[in-house]
Amino acid sequence: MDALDGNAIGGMLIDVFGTEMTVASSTCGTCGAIRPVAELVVYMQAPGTVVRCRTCGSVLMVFIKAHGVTCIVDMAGMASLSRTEPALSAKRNPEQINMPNEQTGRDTER
Amino acid sequence: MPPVSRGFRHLHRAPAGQEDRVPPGQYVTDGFPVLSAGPTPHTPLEQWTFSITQGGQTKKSWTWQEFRALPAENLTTDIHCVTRWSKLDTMWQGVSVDTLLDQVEHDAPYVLAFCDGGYTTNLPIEDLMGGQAWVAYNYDGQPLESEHGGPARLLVPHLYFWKSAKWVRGLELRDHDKPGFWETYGYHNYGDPWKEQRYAGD
Amino acid sequence: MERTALRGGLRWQTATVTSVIQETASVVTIEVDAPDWPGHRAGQHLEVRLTAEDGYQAERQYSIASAPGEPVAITVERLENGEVSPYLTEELRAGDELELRGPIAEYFVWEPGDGGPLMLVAGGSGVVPLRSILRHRQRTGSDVPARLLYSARTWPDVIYRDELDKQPEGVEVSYTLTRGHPPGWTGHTGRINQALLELVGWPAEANPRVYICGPTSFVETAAAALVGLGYPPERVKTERFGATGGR
Repeated sequence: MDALDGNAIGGMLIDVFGTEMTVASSTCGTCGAIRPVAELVVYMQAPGTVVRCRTCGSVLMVFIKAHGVTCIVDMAGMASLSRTEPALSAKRNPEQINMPNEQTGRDTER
Repeated sequence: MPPVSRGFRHLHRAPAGQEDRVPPGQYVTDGFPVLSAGPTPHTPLEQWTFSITQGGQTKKSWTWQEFRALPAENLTTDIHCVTRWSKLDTMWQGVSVDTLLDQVEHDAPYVLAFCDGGYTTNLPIEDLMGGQAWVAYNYDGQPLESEHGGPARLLVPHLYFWKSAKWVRGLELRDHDKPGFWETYGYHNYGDPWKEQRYAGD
Repeated sequence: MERTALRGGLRWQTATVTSVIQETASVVTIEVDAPDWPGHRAGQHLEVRLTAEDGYQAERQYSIASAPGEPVAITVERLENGEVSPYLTEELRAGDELELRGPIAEYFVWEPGDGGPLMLVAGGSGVVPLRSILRHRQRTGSDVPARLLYSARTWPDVIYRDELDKQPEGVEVSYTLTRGHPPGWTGHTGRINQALLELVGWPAEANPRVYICGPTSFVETAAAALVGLGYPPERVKTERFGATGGR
């Protein structure tokens, strides 16, 4: 089956982040590509949902649903995820989730 | 409990009299769902190899032709996916992992299967021995389709099907257990469907 | 507004089906009465959850077919070997309850203030969110010019046929049929490609806003073709639907 895109996980993103995230800006930690979450490549037909960079294919986010609870179990491949434009982030005070290299991937902001 | 949807019957039922073939929490499907964590790899057969490695060294490796020349078995078995579908009487052809391991000296207790695309899964070596596991290249009498793991996948039917790694390229023998892709993300390290070992801690 | 509506998460609510309209042999539009519905924007979707008597649940996502301000409606195509779509298209009837939550996703959304001209490209049931956009355009009295290119298998597979035939001034609809056409057909045939998009689309200099929705391979072909024609990629929005997924 073909991969989908970030639109397909809109509900899951709200469950995990508490808010709409399809327009959030993602930065790939491997190749630096910046695009809205809606444009990422999503594999949903799996034991979990795997979100990959559309440019280089690296894993950016992994979600699983265990015992009825949706969790994000990996975000180490994501350099940053921001709900405002990257270019504006210096001027406004965005909600920004920064991923240091040693981040274990547990979501840090609720 | 949420409202029951009038008239909604899910498709997957155990055939009458065969309920004991279906592990707890599973539903039987006629289809063969395609589950994947990434794009389908397409390694040309001329470049395909299957290797048994340990400590970074290759102990034994087979090309596709050498692999297909090995004695193969036909088997019919039930398979159980952690996403709750089970499929009964699936037919496969492949090489028993016993046949492969017999060609190397080994005393490592653990194995990490590795695959094209980067997928991995871990198992105790005993679960790959004694006629419990194969590297399968035919399904239902036909060459295994790439979306289902072709040219060859690991087949370990007594565990949840995420352990039957698609696009398998080899087995790394290990002294210490190393969790694979889904095991790292919260799935059960062993994955016995009869004990419903879906998630870590189950 | 977005945050207060969503703080605390997205809750399931029980709606009542008010009508199930057959659009084509395998497609229905389900309209519901959802008293707790917070409102939606054109292009958004929602999730439906079915619960069997033994507690088994299945969830699916569907684009909202109605415009903001209209009752919530979804258009569902029956997928062969589907688990949820056969129920929604063949069993569900007026008076039944349907659990849903939404609206979901802000990316694939259009408001008149976003301007245009609008280029809407639909593959099969990908026309659903684009129909919401066209209805919103009409209801708000927007004069943003719009062109819809709708790819379907055959003429009987075209959803919203009558409505698309009666579009107001400023909206042009083109069809391409990929698996057969009626006698005397004057529309296009064959799968979309760059030549067809160049023929029916806006020139790139018009700086159009593009919304492409349909199966993944369709969306990627259309998006690549439009970018190849000089459309600015940042003004091309895509939404990929799943195929049957082998289920």
